[in-house]
Amino acid sequence: MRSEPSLPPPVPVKIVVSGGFGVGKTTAIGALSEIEPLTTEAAMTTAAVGIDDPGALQQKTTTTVALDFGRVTIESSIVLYMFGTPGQDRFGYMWNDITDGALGGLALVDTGRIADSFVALDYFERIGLPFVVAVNQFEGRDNLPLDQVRAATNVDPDVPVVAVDARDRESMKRLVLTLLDMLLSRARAKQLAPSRAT
Amino acid sequence: MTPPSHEPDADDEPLARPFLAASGRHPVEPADSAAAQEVRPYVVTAGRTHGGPDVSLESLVVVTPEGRHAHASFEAAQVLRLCEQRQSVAEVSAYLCLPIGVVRVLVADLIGAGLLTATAPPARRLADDVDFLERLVLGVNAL
Repeated sequence: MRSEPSLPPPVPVKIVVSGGFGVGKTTAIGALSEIEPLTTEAAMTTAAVGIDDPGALQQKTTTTVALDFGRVTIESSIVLYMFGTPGQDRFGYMWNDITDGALGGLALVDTGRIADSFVALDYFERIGLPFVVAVNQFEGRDNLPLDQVRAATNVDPDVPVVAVDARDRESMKRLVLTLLDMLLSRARAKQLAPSRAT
Repeated sequence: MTPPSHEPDADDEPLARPFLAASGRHPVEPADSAAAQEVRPYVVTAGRTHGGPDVSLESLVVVTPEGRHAHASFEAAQVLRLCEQRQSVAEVSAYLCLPIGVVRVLVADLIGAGLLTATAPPARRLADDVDFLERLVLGVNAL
């Protein structure tokens, strides 16, 4: 789509979709994206890999880390990107690029493997990125009740913990709206008390 | 935003191994993907990992009138052609199968040369912008 000269270009924004391996990040992105999720790669050399993996020092290979993303165009004036975090924890440096300037995060949780989500939760909390805990409901499995997920993840009381079906577009819409509602409440509160804004 | 009409196709346009492109020659053989992985990716950018202006993954870039007629190296020409439609830096990376860091340097160079323009970063943090967030909520609701 080429913008008319009279129209300002769309504003790009992004949210981050994180969670453990196999929890459904790409599925979630694809459910809402207007395009098939795309994959881009970041490359790093052994110089960087070797820092946290001494065993790899002798190997002269280039390691790549793939990240998936999708896109939703909103009234041709906003383009919302959804970036999935790469699965490999040790490539945390890519997380900076993904989260830098992001509106917020969605932390997907598989109740069978709650601990897999802790990396994402820790990261979001550490950088102060607002986020929602989204418990992906897997069929044919006893999914842990939400209050138990809240207790297990020990997130702040103002962090929403909601159920989601990552395959379902409406469910994903509601999830993104949960995040946006939280952001809106915070932004309004800041607006009312600007002196406390940092 | 629609997917670009021109997507690199493995059949009709083999991706150049970076060092071949840098030498000014056209690729003489399809780079098989396993071999291509072994080339250090930043050869394309002469080893630089940072360009001029900082571009983020979601920065939207589009070709300028000058960029439409510019002669550029193989990868840069691919970027310019793809950006005849406005694209994010991440999409450029995905469609051209080039690592995101390499694309950043290429894009920054092309912006510096006046061949591409990027959307200016918002004047204020969008996460604090009530009007913007309200628009976004309405828009997502309407999806």
